[in-house]
Amino acid sequence: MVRRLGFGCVALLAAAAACIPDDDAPRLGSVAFTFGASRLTTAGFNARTMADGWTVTVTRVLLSYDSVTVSETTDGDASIPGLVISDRKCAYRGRGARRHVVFDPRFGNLQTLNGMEPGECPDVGFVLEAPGVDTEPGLGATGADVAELAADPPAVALFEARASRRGKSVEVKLRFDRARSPSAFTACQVATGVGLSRGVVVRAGERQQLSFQFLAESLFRDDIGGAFLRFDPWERADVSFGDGDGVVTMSDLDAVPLTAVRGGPYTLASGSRRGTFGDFVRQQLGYAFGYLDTGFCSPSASASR
Amino acid sequence: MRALGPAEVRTLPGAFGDPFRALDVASGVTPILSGFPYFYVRGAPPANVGYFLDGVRVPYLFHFGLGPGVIHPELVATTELHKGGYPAAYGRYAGGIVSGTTTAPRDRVRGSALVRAFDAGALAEAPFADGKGSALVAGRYSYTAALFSLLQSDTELDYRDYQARVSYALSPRDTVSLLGFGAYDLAAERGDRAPVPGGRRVLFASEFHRADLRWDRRLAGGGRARVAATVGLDRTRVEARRFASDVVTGARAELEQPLSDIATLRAGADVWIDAYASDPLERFADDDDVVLRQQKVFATRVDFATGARADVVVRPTRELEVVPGVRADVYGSAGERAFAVDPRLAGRVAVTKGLRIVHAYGLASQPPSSPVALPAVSIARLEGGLQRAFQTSAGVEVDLPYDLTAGAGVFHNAFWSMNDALGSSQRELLEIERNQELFDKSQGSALGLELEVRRKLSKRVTGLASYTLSRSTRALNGRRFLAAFDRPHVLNAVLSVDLGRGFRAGTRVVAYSGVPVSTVAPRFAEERIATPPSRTPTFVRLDVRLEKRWRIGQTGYISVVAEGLNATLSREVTGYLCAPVIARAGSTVTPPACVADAVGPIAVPSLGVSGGF
Repeated sequence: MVRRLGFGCVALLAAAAACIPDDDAPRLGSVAFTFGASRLTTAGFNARTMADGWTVTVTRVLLSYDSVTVSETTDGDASIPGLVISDRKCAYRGRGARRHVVFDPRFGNLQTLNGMEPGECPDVGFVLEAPGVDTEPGLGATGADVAELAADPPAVALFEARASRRGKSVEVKLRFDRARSPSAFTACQVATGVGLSRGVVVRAGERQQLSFQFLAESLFRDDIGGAFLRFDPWERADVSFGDGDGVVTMSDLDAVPLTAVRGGPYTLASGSRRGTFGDFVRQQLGYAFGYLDTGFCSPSASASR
Repeated sequence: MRALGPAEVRTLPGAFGDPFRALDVASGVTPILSGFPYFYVRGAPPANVGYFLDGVRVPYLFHFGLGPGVIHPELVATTELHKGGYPAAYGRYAGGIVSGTTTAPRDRVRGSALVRAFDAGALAEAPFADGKGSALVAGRYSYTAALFSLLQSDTELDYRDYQARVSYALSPRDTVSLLGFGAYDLAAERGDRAPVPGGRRVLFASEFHRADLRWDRRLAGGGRARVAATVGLDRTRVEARRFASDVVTGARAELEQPLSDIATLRAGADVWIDAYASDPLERFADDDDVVLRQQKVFATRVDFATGARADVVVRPTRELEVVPGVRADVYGSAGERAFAVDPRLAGRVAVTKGLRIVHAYGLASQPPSSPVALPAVSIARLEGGLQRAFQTSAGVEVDLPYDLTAGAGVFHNAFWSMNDALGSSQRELLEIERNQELFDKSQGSALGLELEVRRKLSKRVTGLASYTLSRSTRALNGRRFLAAFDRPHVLNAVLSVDLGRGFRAGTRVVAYSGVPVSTVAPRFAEERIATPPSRTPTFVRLDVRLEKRWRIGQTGYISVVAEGLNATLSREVTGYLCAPVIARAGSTVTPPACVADAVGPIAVPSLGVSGGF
């Protein structure tokens, strides 16, 4: 009896002394996203770049940046019933990422997502959001800039430029309010020799380098994918529809029916021309972000509010 | 004042019969969070509190979080909390010392078992070889893992511990014994949250094992000597594949020998070697600065500590006892070296038959430590140098009518070069490991008044009360401020009543001040942020215990115990969340009021049946 009890006790001890188990969690990787600006945004548009002979110099760009977004599925696919999206894959554990920041893309911003599980994350994008409780000024921005974007109505971007032609000078001061401007950008992709490459493949123990660029030129295009950059309609918005003070504002653009804009297709993404020139320019902000060297990001269908 | 005895511990509400969980009822102990067995001792942070069982250093004595102690209560003979100026035998910690001793081998068969809603434990001991030898096994197993499985949870929680001891009297003066013990804790994700089918993602896992072989010899003249060798294995695995192991080897010699009628020498020497192997955060597994910082904690290297100590208990008269002592230690970690000499002095004077004055002074040194002691996890290369503390205390003990004993004392501890990221920042633990504060070296001071009153358990109505009035400060980067866990008032009051017919009911009130709250400075001129209250609210909780005990024969018993920690379901405010607003210069925008950040209620109900003989 005592011997049996002894064996029992030893068995109990052996069970109690179990060792900690192995961890099946995979090794982790990293993706670094740099945010910059196109050469035209930085250097300006000369008279040959613009179809109507204007020269444009970008004087101020501020983006109220929330975060990069990386996920397993594209924005639209997320609504597919039964589609399981892992809360681990494409998530990251690093917190040193530069997010919730107002910055000038000409000065740049770096957000690094560290500690990501390896795998394919086909949907890469980013979100602009009006300044919130976590927002700080980043490169090229001040607290006053943050306050300006946060002021009612809150905005996701400010864009200012100076255009001149034959001795005439016009200022541009645009405020892209949060309610009507695209703010979520998804499905960033780039053409490769074998087709379109979307998103990023996270590899264990490696850091992928990716980049976004702000393309100021997109705002001056005469169509979504239009080849021509024009400033005449902008000047006309101030002179013929606005207050003629030599400063083109979003109010001036909103006073111009899209049907009254001359010199190019100027159609909305829906194919319609119902709306204002302001609606068109706000739409163009959705196509003003490039991905890697030659790729692009698209405005999320659910992003326009 | 004397430590709580086993019977007092058993009846202490909220301690669940666990001697080591009963320590926080003492004065001078400041809890970090209600119910959690991590506390400041006279201003010293949790990682500066050392845990010893029979002289063997262990990384912890409690299972993780709200878990019970890792040693079966019936194997524990004494538990003591040395708050400062302790005997020279204890060192290498710059805060308090929690020391436990195991019961002496019994000359009769004994056993006990306990079954609770969340775990079960048992102990059995039997003599052999005509009473020359004794063998004991004990263990505890938590079936929370099985319960979680029944609930279809993707979370896995598990803990267990074991103890075994064999002793044999080689002669009337010589005894050899082998004590083995260890503990295991696991929190993991599995099921749908597992990284691979059938796999497991470890969030936290730790274990330690010790085997201590001793030879005890009774010396002529009433002395005793012990020579012992210890081997151990500590391992911790935390999320993001971080892993550390420590193969512990040590040897020690202890001597206690009366030198004359008035003096007794206590001396010893030991050496401990820790061979660490680590898997730190891999490159890109976290932010670059975090990876670099964590590599200093999860570092493969060999550490050692060796030293000698001696003190003499001098009793020139029955009324006076003086204990001068000193210990010297050498520390090494991956090529770095440090040396410390820590003198100690304690005294006790019986002014009258019922009035004693006690004093204790001492220097204490400790290698750099991480905020919470985890097996095999410590800061490598003695970065920043040793932590040092100068501990002083003085007080009186008074025997009062109605079998009451009271004590009052003051203490002052000064700290240098201490690793107290918990006390010098107001970040949560998980945030600290990501910040440079993990390695910050602060100065500190703790000053306080301690009051205790206790009534013997043998009385029908018994209880104790302890109160601490203290102030704890830190200085870092040229700034002096209140420590993050400075709680000016800490009160424990316990009342236990024998209701007759084997019923005993008890209650315990725990009340303590809130912690200081720092204002958050706006990050830029246009940001407005509200000012939170200067301190979180006072926390009060009530623990209850009701026991029915049946005696069986001379030594047997069966008891049913219903017990609850935080029966009042009190929530504890740990800070304030103050959301900023952004306003243009000159505008008058009022930021929203700060919102209390409360945890809990952290409550542990327990219903258990235990029996023994």
